[in-house]
Amino acid sequence: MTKRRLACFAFAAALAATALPSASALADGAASTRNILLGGAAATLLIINHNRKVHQKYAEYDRRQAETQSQANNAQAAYESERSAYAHEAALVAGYKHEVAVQHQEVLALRHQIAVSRRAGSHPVVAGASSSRSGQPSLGWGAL
Amino acid sequence: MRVWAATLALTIAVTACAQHAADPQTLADDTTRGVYNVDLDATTAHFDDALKGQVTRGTIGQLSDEMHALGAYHGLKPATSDPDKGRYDFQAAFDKGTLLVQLRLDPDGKIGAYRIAPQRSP
Repeated sequence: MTKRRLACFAFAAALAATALPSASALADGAASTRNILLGGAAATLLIINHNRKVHQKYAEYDRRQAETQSQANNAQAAYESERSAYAHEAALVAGYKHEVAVQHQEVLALRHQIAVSRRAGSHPVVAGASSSRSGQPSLGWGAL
Repeated sequence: MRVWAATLALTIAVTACAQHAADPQTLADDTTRGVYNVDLDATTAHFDDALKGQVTRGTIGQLSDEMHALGAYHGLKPATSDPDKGRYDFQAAFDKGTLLVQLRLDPDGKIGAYRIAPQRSP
């Protein structure tokens, strides 16, 4: 029973509170209506302006995020490109090394051929067949 | 003063190094000592690339045996030379005799030929 009374009082108070502004508006209807409209419009503008600023902030934030991500993505892409370029250059250097090694082997083979041909010539590398100016056999390397 | 002293010292050092590299007797002596000690690196240190390819430890050993048969090595004395042809002969002195050391230098100062020959006793 008490609950029902409390509910009734609350409902009545709510109705009264609702009726009070209308009563004052009725006192000066046109001005009140104008004030309400102006206040509502101002509130709406405030809300819209606030929302616009919020959206601007979020947009700027999102744009910054996008730029940061874009830069990060570019850096990643640049890193990948550099890495790929390095791999290609490393392969190129390995190729050069191999070429130099092959050429070095060719040089050694040519030196060997020269040595063999000199050995087969008139000046043996180490031989008693070669003679000095005094007619003595000489030992050593190369042609005098 | 210090700058002049440093410059003078540097000049002397460079000149000494240049003379050392171009002196045929020094080249022959270094090589002879390398052969005597059967030291491949010392023997071929002043050889040109073609001559280095001909040298083996075995051939150095043959020449070294010839030298050791005469005892300890004491050094070289100039014998004959023909600088226009890069030819220089030296008499290598040992305990029990001498050897003729024959050298041919390339235009770049490297040794193009190195040979030794026994000498008749004077």
